[in-house]
Amino acid sequence: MYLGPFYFDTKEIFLVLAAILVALSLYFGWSLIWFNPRTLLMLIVLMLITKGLLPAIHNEAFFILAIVTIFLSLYLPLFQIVLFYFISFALFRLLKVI
Amino acid sequence: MIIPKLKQYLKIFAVLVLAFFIASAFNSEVFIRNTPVLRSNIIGNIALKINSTRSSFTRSLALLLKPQVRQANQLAKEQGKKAIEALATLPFKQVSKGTYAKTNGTATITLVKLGEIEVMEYTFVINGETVKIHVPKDANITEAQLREQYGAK
Repeated sequence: MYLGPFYFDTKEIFLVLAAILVALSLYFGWSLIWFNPRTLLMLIVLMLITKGLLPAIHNEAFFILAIVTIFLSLYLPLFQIVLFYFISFALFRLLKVI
Repeated sequence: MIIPKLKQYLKIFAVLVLAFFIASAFNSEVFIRNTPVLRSNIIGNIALKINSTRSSFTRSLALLLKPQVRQANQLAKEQGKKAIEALATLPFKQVSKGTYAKTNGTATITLVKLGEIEVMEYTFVINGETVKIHVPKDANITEAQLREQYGAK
């Protein structure tokens, strides 16, 4: 789908929608069960930035990492999650997964 | 077609597991826990962690593979238990204010009576919770050291 000069694939549109939903939940104070909306919003911002740096052929590895990161946010503190995300990215690059 | 795909998934899985352990190690040894603040003695901390991991791994391996090490370990445990039981009848001697100890040469029991020790009270915020920490007045520990040790803000 084209929005102005930019092309968005389905996954990117869903990611942007998720970001909007999480931002709305923070703004209106809706509580999410188990998940912390502030942590989720921070992670989604990081994901949008890193997704912007990747070509679409690496979607699979990226989305596995995104799902695992979001799941781990249930158990680990935010800083450790952010470290995990960036270290995974660096290792993906080193091992030529992406 | 299936093999390269499987190889790719295995790589992704291996990276995620490795990244999890590296992130856990970095979070406690390189940064002050759960904050982006770097520790002051990073190299010393990492060397200590590597040494302790290596020695505990070798010990576990020896316990698992060598029956004589396992027997020696069991014997040492039993001897330790007997030595502590033998101490039960001995009286405590005061070492310093609020601290008492007794020994029979092979085992030692130390008793700390917190009510008798003069303490300094520090209040920190750790992971969003307010925590009070009591430190003996004569202990040579600064507030900054406590903050670093507990990852407090």
